[in-house]
Amino acid sequence: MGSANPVEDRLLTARFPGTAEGVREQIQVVRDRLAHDPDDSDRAEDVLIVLGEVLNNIVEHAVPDAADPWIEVEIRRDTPGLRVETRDPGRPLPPALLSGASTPSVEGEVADLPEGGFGWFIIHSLAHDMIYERQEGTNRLMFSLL
Amino acid sequence: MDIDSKLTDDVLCLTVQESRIDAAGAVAFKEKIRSLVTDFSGRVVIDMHKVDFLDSSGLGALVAVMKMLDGGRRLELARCGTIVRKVLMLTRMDSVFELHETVPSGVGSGQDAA
Repeated sequence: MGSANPVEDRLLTARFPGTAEGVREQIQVVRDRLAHDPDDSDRAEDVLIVLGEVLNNIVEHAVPDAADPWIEVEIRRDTPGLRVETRDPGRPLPPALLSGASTPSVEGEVADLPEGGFGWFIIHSLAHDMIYERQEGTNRLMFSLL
Repeated sequence: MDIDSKLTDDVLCLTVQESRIDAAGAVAFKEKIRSLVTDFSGRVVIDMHKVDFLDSSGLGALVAVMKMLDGGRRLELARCGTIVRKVLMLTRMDSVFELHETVPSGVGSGQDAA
């Protein structure tokens, strides 16, 4: 089924400003692009959720001080699922974040509930086969949605 | 951030008129709701039916809103879409908020407010 031609299997390639507004617009672009595949609505939702977290992390932690804070996203069909790659020119990703995350505790008093720390837990809950590379000052993060 | 508000008896229903609660809008969402719930002591229901995207910043904003409610009140969320429900379940926050399939009866949705 899956074609060997990487160009043919490419669903989306985009470059956009590494800002919260840029991420918001890009999530909408990805949603519109994946909406053509009605059989995959569940996976499309997972892509939006994970990509939202990954891109917002880039905006908040990798590129906030970059002179030109761009982000690139590529989504390809894979067998099985979808393969997603993000690239940015920001600070390196701390390796510990790749090895998993625990969910913040939701027990106890309302006043003690966490208001953050969910992002990497959500990413690891849904994404598979995560690979991170840094080459010539560019971060590359790749992962699959099955 | 556009949020409609309707008070029925002692239940305040807030209808989010935006399609997302995300990192770009989380602070505005919190501040808008703060202005709507200040000095109110009854139940607060947020009608989420127009929200088709929630990220972890938006989730954090919902937690922050619940902390604005004193007296141990739970924040109630009605008509959550599939992405919102998935994010709540993954983080187990579905056990923290009170979820409703429909806007609780007797509570007017801000949707039909004039």
